[in-house]
Parts: sequence; C-alpha cells; structure tokens
Amino acid sequence: MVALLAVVLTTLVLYPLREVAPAVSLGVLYLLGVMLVASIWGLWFGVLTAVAGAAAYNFFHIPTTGRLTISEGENWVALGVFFLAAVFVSELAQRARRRAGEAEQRRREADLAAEMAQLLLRGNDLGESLVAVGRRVAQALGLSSASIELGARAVGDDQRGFPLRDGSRQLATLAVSRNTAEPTLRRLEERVVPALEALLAAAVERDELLNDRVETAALRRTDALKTALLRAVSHDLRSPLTAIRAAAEPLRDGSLDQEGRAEMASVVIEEAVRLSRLIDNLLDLSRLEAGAAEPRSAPCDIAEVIHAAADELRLPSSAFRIQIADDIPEVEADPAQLQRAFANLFENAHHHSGGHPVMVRASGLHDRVLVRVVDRGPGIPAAERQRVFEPFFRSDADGTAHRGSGLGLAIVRGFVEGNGGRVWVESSPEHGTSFVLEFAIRRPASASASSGRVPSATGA
Amino acid sequence: MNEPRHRVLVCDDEAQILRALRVILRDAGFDVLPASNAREALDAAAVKAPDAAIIDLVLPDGDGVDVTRALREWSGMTIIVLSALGEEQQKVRALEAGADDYVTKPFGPRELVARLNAGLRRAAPDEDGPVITSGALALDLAAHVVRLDNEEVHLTRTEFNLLKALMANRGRLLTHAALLRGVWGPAYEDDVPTLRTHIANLRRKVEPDGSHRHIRTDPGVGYRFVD
Repeated sequence: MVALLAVVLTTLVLYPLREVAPAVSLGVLYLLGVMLVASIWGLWFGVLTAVAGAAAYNFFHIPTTGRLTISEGENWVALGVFFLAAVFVSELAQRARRRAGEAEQRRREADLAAEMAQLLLRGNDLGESLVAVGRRVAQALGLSSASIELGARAVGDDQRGFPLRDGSRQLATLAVSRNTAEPTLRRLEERVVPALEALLAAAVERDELLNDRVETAALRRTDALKTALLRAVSHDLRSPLTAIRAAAEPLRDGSLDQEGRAEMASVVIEEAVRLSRLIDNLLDLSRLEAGAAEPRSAPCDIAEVIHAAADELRLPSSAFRIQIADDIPEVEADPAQLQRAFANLFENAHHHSGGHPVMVRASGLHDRVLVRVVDRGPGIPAAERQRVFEPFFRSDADGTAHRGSGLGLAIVRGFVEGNGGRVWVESSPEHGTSFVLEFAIRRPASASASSGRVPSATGA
Repeated sequence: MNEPRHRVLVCDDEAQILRALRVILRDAGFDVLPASNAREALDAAAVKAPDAAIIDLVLPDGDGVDVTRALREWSGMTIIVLSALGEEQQKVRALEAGADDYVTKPFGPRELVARLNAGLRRAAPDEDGPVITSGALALDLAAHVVRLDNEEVHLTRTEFNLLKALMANRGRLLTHAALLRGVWGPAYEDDVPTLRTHIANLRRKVEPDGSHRHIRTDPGVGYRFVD
C-alpha cells in the first residue's frame, strides 16, 4: 500500500516533467522514493517500491511510453539499481534503529544502576533498601515481581534465582518469576546482576563498617566503665579499709585509754557500715547494668518508703525536712528498690548540702506523684546535669572532697526508671539542686474507667 | 624520759583516717595537727612549725607531691607520704621532691609510728662521728675502711661510696635516682642497671650470708639501709 502510494505520488510529480528533463535523471527521483520507503518501513516495502517504481518508470518514461517493456538492458539496470538501493538503505536504517534502541536501553540501565546505588548506599537498613531495589528492578525490566534477600536463599518452584556474589561469597539472592521472557532474563543476568553485585558488595561492606563502629563505641564505653570501676574499687574500698586497719591495731594492742578505745571502735564500725553500703551499691549497679534488677511491684506507700530511706542513713533528724501531702496516692512499684533509690538520693543531697537540711516534698498531681529533693549546695553546672546520672561520674564543681563513690545517682536512675518513673535534675548555682522524681499513681479501684493507664489486674 | 613531745602534721581528706591517726599518734606520744586538704596543711605547717608531716598523696585540692615540695623549700622536717597501690609514680615523685619515706595504704599504725620515729632520729643532730656502725658492720669514714666482724672488707671506691650513702641515711628510703646522682653524678641518674649490679656486689661482700638484712630493696623505688 505504502509502496504503491510512493510510486503513484512520484509518478504524478514526474509526469509533467517528462518534457523538460531527460528520462534518466527522472529515474533517480524514483530511486529517492525507494530509499525513503526502505529507510522508514524496512526491506520488504523497499523491495516492493523498487519493483513498482521500476515498472512505473518503464511505463511512463521509457520510450516507448505507455507500455511495459523489459526487453532492453537499461530497464533491467534500473530495476537492479532500485532493488539494491532498497536493500542497502533498509539495512542501514535498520542498523541505525537498532543502535538507537540499544542506546535507549543503556540509558535506562544506567538510570536503574544510579537508582539502585542511591537506594543501597544511602539507606540505613539494608533489608529495607533491598525490597525497594527489587521493586525498582521489576519495574525497569517489566517483571511481574523481583525480590532480593540477603544470604543464599532457596527460591520457589515458580521462581528463578540469581546468586549475587562478591568474589566467592554469596551476599544475596535475586528471585524473579520463572515465566519471564528469555531475552529479559538474559538482559537481567548480563546487565543488571553484575551492577547489583558491585553495589551490594559496597553496601554490605558499609553496613559491616557501621556495625563495627557501633560495636567499637559500645566496647569503649564498657571499657571506660571497667576502668572507672577499677579506680573506684581501688580508692573507695581502700579508704574505709585503711581506716579500719589503722583503728583496729591499737585496739588489739591495748595501749589506748578508755576514750581512745571508744573512738577507734566507732571508726571501725562506721567504716564497716560504709564499706558494706559501697558493696551494696556496686552489686545494685552491676545488677542494673546486667538488666537483672527485675522489680517486684506491689502497692507502695511513698511516704513510708521516704521515711524508711531517711532512717536508713542514720543521720541526725535535722538533716532532712520531710513534707508529704496527707492524701498522697499509692504508686505501683518495688518498695525495696524505691527505698534504695531514695536512700542514695538523700545521701547525695546531704553530702552536697553544706550542713543545711535537705528538703523533701512529695505530693500528688493529677495521675502522678512528684517527689522533690532539694539541697542548698553549690548547684550543678548545666553541662553536668545529664552526666550526674552516669556511673562513677563525680562533679568537680564544688571543689570539696567527694566521699561518694559516684554510684549513687546511677542507682537512683536505674531503680526509678526500672519502676516506671522518671528522675531529672533542676539546678541553679544560687539555689542549690533539686532532684525531681515522678511516678504514675496506682490505679484507684473506684476510678478505673477514668484513668485506664495501669493494667486492671492490680487487685484491691 | 623527758623528751619534748614531737608535733606531727597529718594531712588526709578521709575524716575517719584522720580521726584514727589522731588517736594513734597521740597514744604514741605525738602532738597532732590535723589537716584535710593541701591548703590547710601548708597553713598549719607555716604557723605551728611541726617536726614531721604525714601527707596523703591524693588530696582534694592538689597533690601530696606539691605539698612535700612546698614544705621542703623551707623546712628540714621529716616527711612521710601515704600512698596507695597504683600510685607508684607519685610515690617516686614525692621521694624525689624530698619526702623521707612512704607508707602504703592500708598501713599498720605501728609501722607508721616506727617510720616516723626513724625519720625524727635522723633529723636529730648527727652522733655518728667518723665511724658508722650497724651490728657487725662498721664503716670508717676517716680511714676509708669497712670492717665486718673486725675483718676488713675490700670494697671498690664506688661500692664504698654507695655503702656510705646508704649507712649515712640509715632507715631512709633512697630512690634509684638519688643514689645514682649522689654516687655516680647527675649524668647517671637513669642508669638503674649499673646501680643494681653494684648493690649485688656490695651485698655479697657485706652480707655474705645472703640475708639482705641490712640493704633492703624497695622494688621499683630504691634501697634502704636497716640496722
């Protein structure tokens, strides 16, 4: 149809020119039509145009015009030239089209590789990135599905698997539907898989380096903690031991007077108590660090716990001024652990209060209980407020001798948070330091519907 | 015994150790000046002029080494530092700064009192004369001769000087550097192996029974001559 149209058109254009131009040059114009058709529609249309063109040329322009005569040599030549032109041009055009197609495909592959690189090398979670890469590969190649999983995986019966390797190590498995066309599979294997392997190797290496870094940081923290522990043990355990030994020897020798003996005996007792508190704290901390301090929750009267903690310290009663609201609600917590927390907090506040009494105030606020422990010490610089809860941290701020081991506040935080509470510090250099503890109240049996925060299995 | 009571400055930031030392030293016949930090110690020393000082190496407002050095600038008082395991470097520095001795925590009070008395005796006017004797051993400074059980012992010049340094400071711990400086000269103060060799030779000659009773080793720190 196209061939016929081209020939008819050419003929119509040429016919009026037959008087002015020699027949041979007009034949060249038919050739143009043949080449045009061959380049656009391919070999077979080109050949058809060549034959039709030769016929038309013969009919209209070769004397004697008006009839087909293939007797003379030049007619055969024209047909041959048209034919060759059709073959040659269509082949050239075919080749150009193929090149363009390949270039387009390369471009798409490059786009795919760039997108895969972005997904794999930028993402935080390699597993998630691989899901996205699988989707993108499926989309780019027109596959019904493509999935990538880390490691050597067995693929289903309806799937075809491609191992993705880095050298001899298989990093992941790419699985695509088994009824994918063979050329697509070949393209996948030859062009996509190598790119994916290279990118995946880089991503896996990056992942491993990141993990190493995290591990190293954790190890360094543990190491710092161990160093601090060693230092604390060597200093804090030795001080009371030194005092005990120094006081005990003259007691044995019996040379001291009554007063001296009494004094040495009280040094021994007090330092033994201090030593045992220190060991309790070390054990508490190691249990907290190991996550082995499971609270035994029970209904817990915070007033009772606070008074018990203050009594435990055996300080003069003037050391603390305790105000607890009469209607303070119960909390759900391990009373023994809360007592350890409060005792440590009170001891810390007492040390830093410079002889002033420590204020302890507790009250209920909505569904919370707030306890505030205020000392009139020198305060904690803003930069240290977070760090005071770290084990073995000792502030240099007030310049006085710190008898504490640096464990107390770490234990406070460990037990408070372990019992579902929060603790933070408010401090200003002029007004001392205020530690605030917050606990959720125990769900009152009568108001279960309004609160709904605490599980209902508490029992009255 | 009508000796005047010696006055001892005691500086430690641990209140309970201070409390125990006060009782112990009072019981041993000393007057005690307690101080809980470096500043208090230096103030008390300046005002009350003690005969001896016991100073903890780790103080809240400074370093026992610095206190030792500051005291030494104007005083020949006996200085004993209290150190703990792991503070070897500071211990050596304190001795180099002029401390006479050290006691490791946790210490026995009797040992501390004995060291204190030894230090105070040394500080007393020298009664040695030209011959220093210790048991069967006699070192004649004038004749440049050493006798063991009245038998002359042949010592090299260096060995003689080494023994002289140790015996003249009986009871006192001398650091490696101090001995090397005193006997060999300042250029040799790091040459501990040489010192060790000469000490070994000296011991063979003056303590032929191999007892090390007189020349005591303080590993990593130095040597001390004990009667």
